Amino acid sequence: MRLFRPRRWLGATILTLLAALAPARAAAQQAYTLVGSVVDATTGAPLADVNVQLRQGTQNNGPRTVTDATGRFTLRATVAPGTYTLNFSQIGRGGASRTVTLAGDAAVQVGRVQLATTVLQLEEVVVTGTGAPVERRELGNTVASVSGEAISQAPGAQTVDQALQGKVAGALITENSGQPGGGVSIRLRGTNTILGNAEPLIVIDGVIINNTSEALIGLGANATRGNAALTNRLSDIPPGDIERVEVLKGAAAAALYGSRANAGVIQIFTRRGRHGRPQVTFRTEMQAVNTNRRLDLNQVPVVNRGDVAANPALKLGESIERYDIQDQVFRTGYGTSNELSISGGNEGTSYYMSGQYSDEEGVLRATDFSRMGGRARLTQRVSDWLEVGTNITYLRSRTNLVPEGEQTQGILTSIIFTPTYFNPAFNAQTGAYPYNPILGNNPFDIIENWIAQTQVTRFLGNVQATATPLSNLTITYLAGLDDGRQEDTYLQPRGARLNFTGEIQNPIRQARQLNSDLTANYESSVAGMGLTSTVGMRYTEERINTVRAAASELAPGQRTITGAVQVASQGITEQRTLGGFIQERLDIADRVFLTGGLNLEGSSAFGADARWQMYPRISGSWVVDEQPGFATGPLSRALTGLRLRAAYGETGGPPPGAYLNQVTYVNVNYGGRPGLRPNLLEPNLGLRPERQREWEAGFDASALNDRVSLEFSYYDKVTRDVVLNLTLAPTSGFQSGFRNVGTISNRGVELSLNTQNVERPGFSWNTRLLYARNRNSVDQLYEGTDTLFFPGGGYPNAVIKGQPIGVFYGVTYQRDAQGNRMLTGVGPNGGAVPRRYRTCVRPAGCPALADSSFVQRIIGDPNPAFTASLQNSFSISGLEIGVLLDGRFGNDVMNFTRRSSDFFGSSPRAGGEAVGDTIVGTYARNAERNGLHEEYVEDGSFVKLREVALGYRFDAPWVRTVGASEIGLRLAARNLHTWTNYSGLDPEVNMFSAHTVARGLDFATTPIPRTFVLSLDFNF
Amino acid sequence: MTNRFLSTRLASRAMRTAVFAALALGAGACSLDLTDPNAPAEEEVLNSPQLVLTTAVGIQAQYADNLHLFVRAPALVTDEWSTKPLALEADRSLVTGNVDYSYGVVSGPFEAAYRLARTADVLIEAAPRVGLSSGTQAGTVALAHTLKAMAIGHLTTQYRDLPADYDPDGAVMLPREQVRDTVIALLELARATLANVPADSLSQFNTTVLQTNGLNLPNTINAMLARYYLFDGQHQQAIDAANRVPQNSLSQFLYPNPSFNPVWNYGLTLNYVGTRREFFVEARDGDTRPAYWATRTSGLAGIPDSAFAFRRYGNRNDPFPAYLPDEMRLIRAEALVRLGNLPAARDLVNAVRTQCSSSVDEPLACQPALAVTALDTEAELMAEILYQRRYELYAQGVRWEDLRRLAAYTTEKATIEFLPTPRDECIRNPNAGC
Repeated sequence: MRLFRPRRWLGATILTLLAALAPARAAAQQAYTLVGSVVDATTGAPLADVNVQLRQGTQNNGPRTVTDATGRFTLRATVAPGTYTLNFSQIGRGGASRTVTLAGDAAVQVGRVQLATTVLQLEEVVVTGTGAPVERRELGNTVASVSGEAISQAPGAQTVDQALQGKVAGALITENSGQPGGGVSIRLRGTNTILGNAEPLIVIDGVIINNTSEALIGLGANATRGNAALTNRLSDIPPGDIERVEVLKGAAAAALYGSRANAGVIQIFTRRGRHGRPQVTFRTEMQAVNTNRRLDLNQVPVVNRGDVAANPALKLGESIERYDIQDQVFRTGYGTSNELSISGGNEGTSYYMSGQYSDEEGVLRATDFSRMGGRARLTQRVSDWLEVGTNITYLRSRTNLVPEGEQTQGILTSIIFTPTYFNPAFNAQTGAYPYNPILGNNPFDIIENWIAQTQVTRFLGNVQATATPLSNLTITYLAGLDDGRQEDTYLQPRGARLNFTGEIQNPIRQARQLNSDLTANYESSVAGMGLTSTVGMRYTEERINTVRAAASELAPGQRTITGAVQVASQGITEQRTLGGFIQERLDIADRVFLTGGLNLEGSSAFGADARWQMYPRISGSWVVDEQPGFATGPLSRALTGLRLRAAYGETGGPPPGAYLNQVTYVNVNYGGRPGLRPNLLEPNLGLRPERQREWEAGFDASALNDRVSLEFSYYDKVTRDVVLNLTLAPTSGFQSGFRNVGTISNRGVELSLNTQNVERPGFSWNTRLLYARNRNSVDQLYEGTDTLFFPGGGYPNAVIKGQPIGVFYGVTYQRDAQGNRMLTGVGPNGGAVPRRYRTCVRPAGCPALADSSFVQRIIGDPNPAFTASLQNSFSISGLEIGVLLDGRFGNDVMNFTRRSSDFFGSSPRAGGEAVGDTIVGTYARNAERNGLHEEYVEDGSFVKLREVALGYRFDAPWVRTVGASEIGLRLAARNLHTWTNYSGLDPEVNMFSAHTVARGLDFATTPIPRTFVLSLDFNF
Repeated sequence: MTNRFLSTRLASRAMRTAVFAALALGAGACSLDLTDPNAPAEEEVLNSPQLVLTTAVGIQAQYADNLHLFVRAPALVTDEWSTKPLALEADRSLVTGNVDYSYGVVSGPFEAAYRLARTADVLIEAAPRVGLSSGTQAGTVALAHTLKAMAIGHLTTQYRDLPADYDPDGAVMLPREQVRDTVIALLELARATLANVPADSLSQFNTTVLQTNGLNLPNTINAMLARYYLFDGQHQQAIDAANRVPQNSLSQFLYPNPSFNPVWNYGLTLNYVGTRREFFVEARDGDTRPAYWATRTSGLAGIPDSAFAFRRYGNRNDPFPAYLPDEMRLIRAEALVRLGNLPAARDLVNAVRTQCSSSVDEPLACQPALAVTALDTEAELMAEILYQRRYELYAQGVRWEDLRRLAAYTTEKATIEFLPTPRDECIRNPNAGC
């Protein structure tokens, strides 16, 4: 028996809606027309899209309008005469208000209103994902927002998430590989799941989009490990189209996103047209990427043990020629990016059109990323109560990658696996690249002849209708679609290795995501308090069809699945959710704001017995400085502004599979005939979402005439019912089942300190310091299991009860009673070999071989102790300078690159052995050291000079001679320098890409390059 | 005084908007009950005659492909198999008796049997309601009961306490003697099901589901009844059941490609196990049965626990018998001894000893009959029956139970008494009681 039936629920919503219309209001009214304009307080430039609303007291349901492209507004209001407040606000900017007295005159001149950007931005309007925009000061939870300028001006950021690095406190944004096309993973206030998706939900203009990171081809980690791709789908969205990004970091803020918001939500709003004459902007950008970081390779011209292992004909100690081909593998890559947009509109229509093309080379030869797309957004006012709009985007991207990481096919992997006597140069006599003498491939062959490509075609679109049947009632319907196709190709040609007959994979994934939202917003007032009531419904549908085709025994030159030995497979996943929410916001005296909401949601992925889930939220905000008497009170001596806030909310996380609530049958063969048997996975009819409860509290304070502001938040997030796959009792009739068993908690603080250091004509200097600390802990797994390895296979990342998720649990040093490492084989020059710690040593200590095992302990933690970033912005007579430092502290990295280069004899240390630096066998082919995880744990703390930018805008008369009204010139760099003690190439990368648990693993992963950018933009 | 809400124009607008939007939303709203499109759901199987019969084919694979799990422990804890150098630590532990409850050798039989039991229940529930002919329906139900009984029957010889059936909510452990009664009951049910329909109504089921040369259902049911009545000490019932099995019949599990015989795989592909050297050394002179079962390789001789390659399952497609014909003679002989009819028992033992040819593939002793004086006491007969069972029923999964039942007549001991309750059972089943 289902708790709710969709239609009944629908009926209830309509009734609620109608009931909300009931309050009647009475007054003797008169028609007024208010006109005026709004400008930027600093620059004096007219501001478009500023909301203008007439309010009386705390009533927030008065008539409203927006400014046009020239900053002008005309507000028509039929109200009773009296004293009103005219409020001005713009999403992403501060607010202002004017008092107007409406009397006999129908035409009212308001004049010029200045809108400032304050450091605290309490009046900044944010959207929060639920109907009506709201001023930040009215919210009890934190919503981080980043403006489109900050994103489009982030130098060299190919993707939105790269552009967000260092700009949001509590968002750990990691670029997993230096290959082009993204591969970024985002953790908002820590990791909350083990098997589920730890990446936040991405919403573009209210439409939930597909952001799967599941790899179609295994380029970083082996495909059998359930791995994540080197690219991510957020890279499809051109950053230039973005007007602003809002980040909801946890359940307290994201409760209305219900069952998928456990990892937080990133809301992206794209640019729109503005009333006024056509605005044409063109932006062109040239970029160069390179890296000066190189692997340390053995250049000692003497044969070592690693060389002999590869070629037994070589004799230890003989002289031999060495090669280092890295300068032929890395390069300076160049790229261009061009964007053109046209926007404008009149009273009834507004439009925005843009086109974009970029083509950027990667820092490794054979890698590049190109993207093209176009977008059109159109809004039409149909009548005085109805507006319809559409926003459609078509995108194509193509990424050429090379394998890396644990793949023996990887370029850097092949370099460290191969003794450096090997010369991979093309052999003109054989007409081919020589075979790698040992594990791995010929890097030049990979560059020249292999294909590892991802191509994405994507259509994003929505249609929207907004009705305002009453001035205080807004009903919005939004239908959105994300329909994308990803085609990958991975070709390893015939002859890439000895006796290798070639292999090609051409998987295709089609993902379609649909959502349909209805929201009604009603504003009223009761007993002098402002009430904003929101009722909404959301239906979503997702379908992913993955077809994998592969072939082996290829003909030379073959690139598609033809002839040869062919294999194909297919998988379809469909999921639906249906939900409704209701929210009430209460405004008491314009200084105390309370919000309460309930979200009821059902998902096809939940068990039939737990189909409907309720997610509540409640929050409060108290603007203390608006309290009567504050200005004369003791606090005002220290502070100019103060707000206290607290919020509580619950969200869910979808189970890690769409069909874990049912038994399916699989094929078996008996007697040469097809048969069926039940799958070994027990269906869970009570499967619930992973449920997160978060509360947060904090304050916003400003001092020194608002020139210094501090935002502080503490949060406590506990995610229960974390789904794990449990081995079941054999008598259950099944092998395993997914159950809601685990608990993960994240607790931390976020701090944002903004200062206006200097503010005078011709020179300003602002600083922003962000600090975030998160403590993650796996509080509960399940009985009989304290340690789970992900992904296993010798990698030490583990989920251990009582520890942060993903800690390194590995083989440790044998130490003496004093804790010193016990070394063996001390050589003439001090060489020594550490030993693995065993439970016992045969034959003396252990009765049986099985009793001797390596002792594993927690040896490191890839989660940072804290993150911090420092942004300094200068403005000197029109010259804008920005410097962003982004740091991560206290995180460990497993340096598997060093491990393998020592073991295979390609490192300088292995070379040193051959000339007596240490005893032979200390590094090269030392299986003992190779298996000693503790040896490879390093401090991965770093500070990166993330962004440096110099910009100047020309608006002198000469600009008009080229037809433009304004020209902007920018010179910028990204990741210019890294300060770290890490011995590898880059402490930020991760071999397992966006993997939830396996983090902090560097294994021949491409370092993140420096990017230099020169850009020009023209406004016509 | 103007009441906005009552303004008909506005009200109709509001209504229009709400209804329009609700319709738009309602059109999209669909059921949240989605089924996995990648494979048939159980619901579908339960309602389709074709899928029920396909599952009836599949349940045989569930038994046949897991046979090595049922015969492994009885062979390794006794003198039948030994481990090869590549063997798993778990296999070795059965030979040494140092077995850990977390090992797969402990959980394997449980897993195979109770998963099969669940499938059997699906078939038993579904077969009568999908419109199958009475013969096909009876065959399906009888097959499900039989395989379930055979799988759980094996467990009753390997665990002291075990559940009589699968139960996802926590199966209750019962003494194995009690579970054996359930096994017998299932087999009797299967026999009764078949007895209710004319034999020729089963012909379609036999050829399409059981397949030619595959399982002979009535004979297998009777053979298993004979086996478990004997184990249960119900000797007359054991004799009656054995008598119902024709002497030259064979009932077996088939492994045409792409399937393979799992015992062949375990011994010859994975190279984990082989025939223990003592199986040859302790055979009587002239007994050719060891060479029927395995190939004695001279190179390995001399090592005490050498494991020789299987011959009977020397190829991947070799079938595995559900029972061997001479098991019926030996069951009758043993039951007759227990009932005090020694001469009749002696005749049966000698019939086994002297058999030199057969129309089916079975081990042949081809030895002279023993004199009356050599088989005129209960002890002599039982010792001889035990010997004959060892060489006739090699690695059929009964040796462990034989050594237990006939312990009084041999010095041979299994390395462990029973398998422990598997670790996952202990942890996950609140009723496991361990």
